[in-house]
Amino acid sequence: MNEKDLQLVHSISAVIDDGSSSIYVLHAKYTNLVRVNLVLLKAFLEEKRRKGLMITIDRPHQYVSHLMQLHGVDQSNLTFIDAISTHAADTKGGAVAPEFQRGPFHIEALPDFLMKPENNGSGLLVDLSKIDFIVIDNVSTLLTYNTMDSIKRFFEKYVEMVKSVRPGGIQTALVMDRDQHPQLFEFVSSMARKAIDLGPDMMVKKISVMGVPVPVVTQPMQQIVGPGELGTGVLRSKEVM
Amino acid sequence: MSMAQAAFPRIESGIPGLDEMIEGGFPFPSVILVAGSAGAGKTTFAQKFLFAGADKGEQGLFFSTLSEPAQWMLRYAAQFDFVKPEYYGKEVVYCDLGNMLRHCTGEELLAYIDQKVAEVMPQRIVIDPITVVGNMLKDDYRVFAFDLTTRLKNWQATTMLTGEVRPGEMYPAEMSYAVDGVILLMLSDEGDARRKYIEVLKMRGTNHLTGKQSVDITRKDGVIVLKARF
Repeated sequence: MNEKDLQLVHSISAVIDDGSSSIYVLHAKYTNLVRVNLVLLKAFLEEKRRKGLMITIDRPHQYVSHLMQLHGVDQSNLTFIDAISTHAADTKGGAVAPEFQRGPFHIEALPDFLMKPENNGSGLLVDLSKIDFIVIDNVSTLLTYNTMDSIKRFFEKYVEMVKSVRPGGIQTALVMDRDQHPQLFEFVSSMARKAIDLGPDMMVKKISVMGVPVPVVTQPMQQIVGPGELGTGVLRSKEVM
Repeated sequence: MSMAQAAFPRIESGIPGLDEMIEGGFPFPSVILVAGSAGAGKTTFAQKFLFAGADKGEQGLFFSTLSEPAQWMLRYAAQFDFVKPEYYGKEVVYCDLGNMLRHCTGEELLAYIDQKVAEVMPQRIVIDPITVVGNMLKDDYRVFAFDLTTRLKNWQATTMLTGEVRPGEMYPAEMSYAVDGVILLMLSDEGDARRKYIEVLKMRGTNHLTGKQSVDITRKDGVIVLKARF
């Protein structure tokens, strides 16, 4: 990861709340979605030391796993649910993950699958009671396989699920390009507690809490990362401070 | 038109006049084959694709299969105004596959490309020329082509493969079935002149212009489409 990415890790880490079932929606250019997801995972797993679940819809999970490995992002506390592998005809090997066999076409069924992992037949269980956060890679791709109405129904069920599964709930991070899918972005944002706008330079441009903008305060990188300081997340919005 | 169709992501090619022929740019992600004979402008085309992306903040990765020292390739590339040396090694990363190709298997080559792509995280990739790989690999080139294109798309990048064509050949057939787009760069003898043309033969998900269009190569912009009938 380069300096900009690490700075973004700190920025995002500072915005993540403790112990809530918040949904975060991040606007980033579609060419940066992979990079932003990697940054998000590092922020949750390493800076916040959370246990997570990544649902892959855009590409087989092995790619994310490989990317994390190469960039030294610890994935020992990350579980994958792979919703695309069965349709990917991909020979790439790697980590094993439970597969959502119905694929991305029946996304409404995913919350039920997550709630009843013993029924998935893969033999690999996902225990949601031990999951702190969920990242979906990526929401926009759902439109390729589903109608807007079925995506809305999915999110309604999903929100119920993350609130009910454990005290404090599960946090969810969704990265999208607002300009690419404005209608979906608006819908997802309406459910989100925080919206974070990233510029093409991968810097935080704007943060909103429940639709109300809050100032973004940044500090130079050298003030953020000192020896042994990685994880303190000093780069904050005033709202968090 | 569905929402998914309306928001089909594209990136600008960087080639003046080409985006108007392909509904605004190359699909993202995708793998595009640029085929042509020697001197048709394939490498210039590919370099411009990377540097235009770098101008917009997109990361580029250039794989050379020729075992030509980067020094020589860059000396020629530096003749173009659009090539900015400050991008070298940063926004545009060069990687030589030539030495590796002499002794590796297709799987080893894929693993190396995978590793480099995951390390650099580019939005734009060039492999120049891909046809050399077919000549040097002992494995089944078609299987390699399928695996390569599948992986490149899953890495969320638009990749340009350049392909040298033999006399009488239109494009490298082994690769063309696996890619999302095929662009031909052609040289044509017309009286005393040798003219250059471009033709978009295939571009998936795109209502592209068909037929040959004149191109020129200039120091300022590299390959430019001169005459597009829109």
